[in-house]
Amino acid sequence: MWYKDRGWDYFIKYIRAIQVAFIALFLLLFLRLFQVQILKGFTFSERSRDNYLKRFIVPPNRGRIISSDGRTVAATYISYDLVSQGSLSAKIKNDVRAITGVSLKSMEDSLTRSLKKGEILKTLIRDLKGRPLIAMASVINEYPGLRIIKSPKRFYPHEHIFSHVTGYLSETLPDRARAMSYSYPGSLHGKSGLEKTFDSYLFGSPGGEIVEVTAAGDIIEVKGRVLPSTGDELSITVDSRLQKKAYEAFQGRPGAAVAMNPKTGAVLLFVSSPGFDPGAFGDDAAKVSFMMASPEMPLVNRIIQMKYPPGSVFKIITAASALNESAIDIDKKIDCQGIFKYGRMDFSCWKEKGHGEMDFMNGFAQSCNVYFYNTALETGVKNLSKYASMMGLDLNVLKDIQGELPTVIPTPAWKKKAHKRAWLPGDTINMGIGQGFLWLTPLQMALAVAGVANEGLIYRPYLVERIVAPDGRIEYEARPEQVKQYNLREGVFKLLKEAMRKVVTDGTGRVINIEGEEIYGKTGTAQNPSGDDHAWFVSFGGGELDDFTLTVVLEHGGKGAAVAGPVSRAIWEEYIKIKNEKI
Amino acid sequence: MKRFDPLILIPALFLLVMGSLQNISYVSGDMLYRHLFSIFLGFAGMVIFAFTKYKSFLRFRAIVFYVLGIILLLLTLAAGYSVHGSRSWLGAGFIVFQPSEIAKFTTIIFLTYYLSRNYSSRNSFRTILFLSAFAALPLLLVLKQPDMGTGLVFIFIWFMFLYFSQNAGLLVFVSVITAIVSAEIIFFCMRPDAFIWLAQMAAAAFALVYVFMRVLMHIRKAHVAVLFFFGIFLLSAFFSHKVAAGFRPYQKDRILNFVQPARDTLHSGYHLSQSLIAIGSGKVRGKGYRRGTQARLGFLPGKYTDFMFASIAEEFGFVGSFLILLAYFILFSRIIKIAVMALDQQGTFLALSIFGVLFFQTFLNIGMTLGIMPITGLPLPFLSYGGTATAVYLMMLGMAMNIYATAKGY
Repeated sequence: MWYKDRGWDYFIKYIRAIQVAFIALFLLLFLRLFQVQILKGFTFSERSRDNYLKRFIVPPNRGRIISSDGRTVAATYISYDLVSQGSLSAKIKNDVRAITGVSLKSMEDSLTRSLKKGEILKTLIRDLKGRPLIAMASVINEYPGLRIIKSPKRFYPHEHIFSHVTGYLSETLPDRARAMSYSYPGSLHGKSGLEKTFDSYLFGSPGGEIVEVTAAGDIIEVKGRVLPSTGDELSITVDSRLQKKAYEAFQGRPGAAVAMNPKTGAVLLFVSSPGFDPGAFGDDAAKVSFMMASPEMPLVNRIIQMKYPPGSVFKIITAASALNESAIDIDKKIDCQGIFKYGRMDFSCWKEKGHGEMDFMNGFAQSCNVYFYNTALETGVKNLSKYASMMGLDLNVLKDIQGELPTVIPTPAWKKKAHKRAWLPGDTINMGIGQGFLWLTPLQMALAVAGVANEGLIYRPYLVERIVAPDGRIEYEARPEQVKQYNLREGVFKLLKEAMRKVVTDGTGRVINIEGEEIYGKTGTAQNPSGDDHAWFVSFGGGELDDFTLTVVLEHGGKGAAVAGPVSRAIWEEYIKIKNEKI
Repeated sequence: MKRFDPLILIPALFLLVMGSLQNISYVSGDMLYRHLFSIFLGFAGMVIFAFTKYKSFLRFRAIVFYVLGIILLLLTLAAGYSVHGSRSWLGAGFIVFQPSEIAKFTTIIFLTYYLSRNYSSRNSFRTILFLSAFAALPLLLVLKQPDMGTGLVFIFIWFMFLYFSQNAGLLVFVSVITAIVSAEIIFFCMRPDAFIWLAQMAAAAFALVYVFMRVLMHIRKAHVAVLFFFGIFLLSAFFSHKVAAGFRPYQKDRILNFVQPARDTLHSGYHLSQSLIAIGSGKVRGKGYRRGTQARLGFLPGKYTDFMFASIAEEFGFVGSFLILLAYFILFSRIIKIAVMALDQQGTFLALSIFGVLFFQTFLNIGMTLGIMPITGLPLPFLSYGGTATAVYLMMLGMAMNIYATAKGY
């Protein structure tokens, strides 16, 4: 030991200090290693798995929707997307541009969108078609980083016509709790219509692939694969020919038409005009908001989401209550001079010159307001409200399409509560001809009409007849379900129908008088505080045609007979034609 | 054969085998042959150094070595070629080497020679100045490349020899200055434009101290002390400001990432976070040889160079990485033991500085992969890819063996 020999005993301390520091620092390394590998090993293992194992979704094909006459209303077609599995060189992008003719900028935009969504397979070109697709597919093997994948796209062949039946898709979940189980990031779900209500049936179940990727995103190996399964097929009760005819008859004017089989509740026609092209939306939120802002409100389903005063159509209820309560003598004549005086107030008839002497039959057929002012007063508001409710004007029973608006039948008590005013006789007079506080949806009116046609039996309206799984299993089958039953005295329905028949043969509704066919109807022209009158036309068939009731409304259309009449006639003619074809 | 101290040879062989296993699986062709050839060269050198009396290097030969090292470093700056932005390599074709690694060895030999020759005057200004100048010359040449990591090793070598000269006061002064300068550098990395601000704050603080000393403590010449320390502070701040401004963005990021680890996981903190994931996910038994997902799928950067430890820890788990640490521990303990056993001052200094160079790099490198040291581009001795380093470190071990053999009288 040289330092001892030189009397430098203390130099050993210098070495020992180094040794202590060395041991302490190594101990630190040991402890840290223990902490990272043993204590936190599990956490870091998970993070390492997250690094290299990626899962991506193979979207399922959404189920078809088929009309009652076997036409496809909504379908899914396979589009082909060009995707990249990892990093792409400029050379490859240039090659792709040369092969497909798609600009570099649009590819870059698409890639950026994919990156933002965090997709593993980054989309380069969406919906590749025709020659570019064939050209790309033939050389795809030369580019190991590129793949062509199938990607389902929703397709609505009838565009606007069925828009309010099918509804449209968006990335929002219709019912968060339920849809969580089958949705995935970016999945499209029904936002309205049948697409929304039956989303869980139509959606199918997504498949997936678990792949091992490198840091650059290149796929090394597919570790597992689950095939997607197609959604269920919906058969609906709506007839595409009828639907098309009706939609065209509207000529783009706003309004609604709904036809039902009164004996089952099956909805044969479900038109809200104007419609929209549900397929045009894609996942383009800008288009949706543009539609929402449109003054024509094409996204509003007018059959269930818009309320109108019923106008003279309400006279069916006024008549029914008066007849059933024996409030009037049907043969007693009332002289209509075009004006009805009550106290200091004047109530006019739509026919300024007046109808002259009117009994019940003529008063109903000519839709004489003066006759019905009288009848309303005779019957009283209590009965009017009672029968309006009894005959189904405030029903909210549609399950297949969501979003129905509720209706309140006005009563004196309701007015007191809602308007802080007492019910006046004038209110009763107005209510008798369907003006005033009662506003309702076309569907509610259609149900009441179906009730009259069916003599007091109202069935739940439905659009979905059957749901069939891809393997042929029937998942769901509609069963007629009664939602309302009421009785009128012997002969009252007969009388009411007789009056409604007279409307068609001899009254305001002659426009739908088709020779040899037994059709009943009632027109309505509802005044409304803002803008032109709403035109109503309700009708139902008898004999051979007893399975069809029709309700037509044209918003701000004008006179019921003149405007809603031709639309109704076109629908009736089409229905009769279809019926004859069947036989 | 007794010259080959088993407590040095066996851990070194173990480390070399582990490192080679990884290198074989990561690199191929000339790159691999160059590394394997360097190991062979290193062993040859180790035998030569083990059989040559270390005293024989501590004569005129030490000066020759040192000058040779400096010339090589100058040549590198003039004619070397750069990888990753550092001009650190010299040579052509198959023969390519890193002069800075060689300079580590030549510098410690020369500093040992110089310090032991002037040991009686070790406290004199002249000796300390020369010692520091001899240490600073290769340091500056390396920083010029620029290679911050290797620069740190040379700074450490300089510190070691100040320590050996037993000049406690100087060491404390240097340490305090170093601490202040590092703190200032970190500060200027965070706020590059705050020099004036810092000077004002310091002026205010020193003024307060002056008032405190003068009024409360009645120290008459307080202004002398306050102005002296304020001057030193300003000078060091100016120096730090210049250094921080000269940093490249990635160097600033490394420093800041160490100060604030959670700063930026996806970008500049990516290396550290992936390194921890690699080591941690190895758990107890590892993922298996050639089955590390972090390293093999490209998530771990520098898998066979700076982050070799992480890639081994991932594939061999705690068992493997513990054995690696143990091997280093045995090796380093043994070299310290040799320093104690050495027959003369030169032997002790040489052994301690060999230990210092190897330990400093090992601790910094493994500490970096484990996130307890900032990220510096230093190779891990015997494991990382890199022929020159491996060969030079093996020769250092050969010299340590010779000190051992001499002490044992073999």
